[in-house]
Amino acid sequence: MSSYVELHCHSSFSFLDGASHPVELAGAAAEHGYRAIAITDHDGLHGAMELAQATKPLGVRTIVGSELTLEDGSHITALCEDRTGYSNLCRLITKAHEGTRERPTEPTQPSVPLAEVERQAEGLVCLSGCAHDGAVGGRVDRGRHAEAAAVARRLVGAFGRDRFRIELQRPFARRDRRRNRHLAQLAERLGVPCVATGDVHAHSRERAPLQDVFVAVRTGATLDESEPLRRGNTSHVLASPDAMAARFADHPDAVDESARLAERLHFDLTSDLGYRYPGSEDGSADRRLAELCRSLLADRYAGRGTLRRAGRRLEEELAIIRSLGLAGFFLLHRDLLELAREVAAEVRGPASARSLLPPGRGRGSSVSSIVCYLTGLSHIDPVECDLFLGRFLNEELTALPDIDLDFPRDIREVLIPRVHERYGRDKSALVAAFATYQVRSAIRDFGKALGLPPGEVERAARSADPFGASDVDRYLGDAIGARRAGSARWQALVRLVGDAWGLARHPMQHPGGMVISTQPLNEICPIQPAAMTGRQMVQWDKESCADAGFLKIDLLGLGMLSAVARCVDEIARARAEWIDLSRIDYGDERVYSEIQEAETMGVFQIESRAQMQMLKRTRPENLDDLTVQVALVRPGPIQGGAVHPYIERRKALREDPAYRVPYDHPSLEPVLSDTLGAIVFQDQVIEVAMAFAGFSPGEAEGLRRAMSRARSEAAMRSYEEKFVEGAMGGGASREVAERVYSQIVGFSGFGFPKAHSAAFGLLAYQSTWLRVHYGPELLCALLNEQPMGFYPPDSLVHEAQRRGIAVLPPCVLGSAAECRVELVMPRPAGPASDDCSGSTSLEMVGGPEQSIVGSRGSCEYAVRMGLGYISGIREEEVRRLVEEREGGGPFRSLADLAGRCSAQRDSLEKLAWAGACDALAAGGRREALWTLGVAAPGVAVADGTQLALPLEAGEAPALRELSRWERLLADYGSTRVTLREHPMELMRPDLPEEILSSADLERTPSDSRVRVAGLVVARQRPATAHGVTFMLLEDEHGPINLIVPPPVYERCRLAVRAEPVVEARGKLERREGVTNVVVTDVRALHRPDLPIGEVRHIEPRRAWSTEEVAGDLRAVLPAAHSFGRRG
Amino acid sequence: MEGVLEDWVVEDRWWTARPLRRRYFEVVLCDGRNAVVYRDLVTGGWFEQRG
Repeated sequence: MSSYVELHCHSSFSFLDGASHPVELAGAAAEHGYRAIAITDHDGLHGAMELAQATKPLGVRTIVGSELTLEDGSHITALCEDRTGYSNLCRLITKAHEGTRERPTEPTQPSVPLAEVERQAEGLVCLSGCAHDGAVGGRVDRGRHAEAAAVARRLVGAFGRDRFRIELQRPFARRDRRRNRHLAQLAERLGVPCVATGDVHAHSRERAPLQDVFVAVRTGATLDESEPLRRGNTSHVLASPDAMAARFADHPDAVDESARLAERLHFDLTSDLGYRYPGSEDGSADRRLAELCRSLLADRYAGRGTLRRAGRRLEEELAIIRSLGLAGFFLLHRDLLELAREVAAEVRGPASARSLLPPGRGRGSSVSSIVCYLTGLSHIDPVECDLFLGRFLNEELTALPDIDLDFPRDIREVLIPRVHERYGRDKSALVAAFATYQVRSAIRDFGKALGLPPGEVERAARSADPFGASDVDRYLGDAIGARRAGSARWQALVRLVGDAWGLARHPMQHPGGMVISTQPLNEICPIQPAAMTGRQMVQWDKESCADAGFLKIDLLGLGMLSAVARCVDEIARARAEWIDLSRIDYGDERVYSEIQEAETMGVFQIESRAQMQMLKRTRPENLDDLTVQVALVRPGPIQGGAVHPYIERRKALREDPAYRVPYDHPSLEPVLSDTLGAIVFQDQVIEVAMAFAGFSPGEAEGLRRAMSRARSEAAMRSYEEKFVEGAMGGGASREVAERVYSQIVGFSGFGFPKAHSAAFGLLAYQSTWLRVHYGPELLCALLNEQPMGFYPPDSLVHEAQRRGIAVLPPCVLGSAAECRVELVMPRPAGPASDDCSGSTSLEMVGGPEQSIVGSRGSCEYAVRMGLGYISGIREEEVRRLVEEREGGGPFRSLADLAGRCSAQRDSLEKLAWAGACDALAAGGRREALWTLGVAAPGVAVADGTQLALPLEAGEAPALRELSRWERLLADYGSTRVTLREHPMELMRPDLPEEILSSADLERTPSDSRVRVAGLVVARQRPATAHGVTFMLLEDEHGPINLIVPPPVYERCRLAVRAEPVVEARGKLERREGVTNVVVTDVRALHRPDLPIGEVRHIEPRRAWSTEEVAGDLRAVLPAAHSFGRRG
Repeated sequence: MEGVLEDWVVEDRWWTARPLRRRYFEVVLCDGRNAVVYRDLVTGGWFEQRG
């Protein structure tokens, strides 16, 4: 076999210029018998670690390199000889990306000056570049021989004859032979060898069309139009060494040279990085951490009965941390949290009610650590909650543990750049993530490239399940008919979508993962600017960062933490009450009563349809129960068969407190007693393996990891044998041992650690407490913090209204930019008024101590929608309007409003359509629109608003009031929330009587055949449900749960997936207070007389929909949340 | 035929009902003329490219 080594290979991480994942390339290289293969993606190492990790077990060596773009657009291929070369390559790539995001929405192509390459040449081997765009080859190809020779001489000067090679390629293009002849002659003149390369862009022939279509997508052209830019054949597929030797029969030395060169390129990414995190070499770290924790322990546990236990636990943890050399790791996190504390004080302000809240809180397994608890990284007492440490920290740990921290979004936004400042911009960066091709994006991109009709492409994209590419053929058939879908072009689309699924399309920043290093990061991994101004990221995603052994800190933004913080602020503003959530009553019966009745919409974690159904059956009574509850609706416990035993045993215990929970083996009782014998928490897998099968902590953690990754069947089999033997050694029968093992395997690691659940359970309680005691404020906070949670704002508002919370429409006289709580006079029962009269906006002008004006006894708190909720109005315009009103007094008329607020005319029209001007227009929205249409608006100038002439508009003609339908559609079109009639209330009179409302359903006997209809609020198709889809409808009285079995889903897929309002038929099932309709048919509910012409005219379509024909109800209805199955 | 100056491959229009796969040769004929011929890799036929 030829000794040829492929030294020029692109993966999909060349982003639209490489059609195979590194893992696929690794497999193909091994199959072809390569000893080594290089990865040379364009201006990046995004896929290098993936390839290095993938090739290592296959016995193939990865050579790290990159195809660098020079400033003139030409390319050279740079390969790492040693660690110095690798650092230089990282610096060059970092340099190439500098300034590519100066305009965040229009990134420019990376490129590096040749002079910079000359400066950073040490340790790198340079190949002269590819056939078409190479710095040398490209020029020769175009007949510019003198220029080619000059560039080659500069490169020889920089790299020396030893580390510069003329690159020969044979892409089977028309001028190959001539170009290679010229290049070989040039090499001879320069006294350097030639080397053959394949310029690989795909691992197999079948993938070659995808490379073609990527070129079309990249250039925004169709395949036909992009013909000159495409490769023209399949020669860019990885070929065997022998095939490559045959391809270069005219240049055998160039083939041999590839092998000789490969021998010298020995830098190994998996072992030669030499990364260190700050504090890792601090000799005093052990002592400092121990002193810190011991002093904090004395404070925190003073006078508590758990002091002695806590002290023992702390010393155990410190000993493990010492043995693992991780003291610096914990001190670094502590340092970071202190930084967050400073940021929080700055963001919240000293007088804010939120200042009582911690800056952030831990999540994940780190919450089980007493060191984390004492240093503020966790807010859960692991001694009190009896949390197991082994999942987070044990003596056999081989990688750095994870500490994830949740922050309110506003604090996180400031904290991330502050971390850059603290540790240096050269030593800290965000982790990258990669946007990958999904079915819909692939159909859209490739359909356009194939020149298929845009309307049909869009229909096909929307009919497709968003996750998984296995049924694309069928989606197309459904969308455009089987006959058309069978044509060659559409079938090509089917194949392309399947091939592209999951391949990276472009890099982006990870939501919160940060890497911090002692040495400059740009010597360890290239850094590039993120889309958000001021942020930068390494080129590796979290898996590659973990493989590199990087210390990754997750600074996550948690919407509910932000909402809770807002809520506390709003309570202080509206009621002058300061809430310290750490001191609320954690045994509040009203709170648990609401939880047990599943009155939890809007609260953290336990608001989903599945959680609500479970709550009525598990009936949590305390924080421990909530900890289990949060973890219960997860794939692990569901697939591991834990849910039903847990529910049944809780029920049995409620009915008979003397009930004895059955355990498969006595050794399981201590580790599973919290969860009544079921495996609910991730750490219970470890505890069971240790207690039941005699595993060491490291072995048990190994089992957990093997399951969660499900990578190696052989590894799993070896664990099974060991587990069963260990359990039998402890006295269990084979049958019991195998049964317990099967429960563990069913769990597969997809569950929460108990520590994480405890943290989330606490937040679930706190948010429920706020909902119970401060409903308007929590609703207000949720509306302002969107998008978040399970329900769209429209549903949150309707549910709040059903609970008696008044929600007022946006109003130019009363609304702030965001939603606010107001004290209003009580009104007779009925829908919200469209004006602002009778309400008192409460502004805390004198600080929180000042008492509220107004009698609370005769008033109630209501939520006023913010003007910012009206889509299509610029933030700046809203801000100026509110400032003008607060500074210059209330607007006296519509002309006054138009003249003083400097909003553009279309924004004024949007205000009118949303009903925000109704208080100034006795005749309602049409009159407001008319008047604003003839009023002269003010003009925004540098330092304010240039007032328009104060000309009052003439009297508006008599205009017909908006009908209820028109108003509903205008509401949805402008704010996506309707405060008055529910759409179903308006549709009800035209529906057949047999269609029951949600209120009727509660009075209907179980097992009845029923027809129901409603607005689709959420769709869920969890992977654990074996194809069952759950739909949540809403009508004017409340929610309706639908269960759609797979055959019905298949038959009614378009209605289930895409229709905003549906009618369903099926059988009513009621069990333990939980009502579902198991459906046999789902269809769209149409109302043909929808009069929405005006709405369409005023609102640009993109304001509410980018997808549909505007003449359709779905153009304005809020989109249901879809929670889909991945894979 | 005296010799082959260049040879190249065109694989295109794979997305249509009539995909194209051809191997081209630019040859020097015995009478000194250059000619471009190709083999259609789908049908197996040989053709001369004109124009």
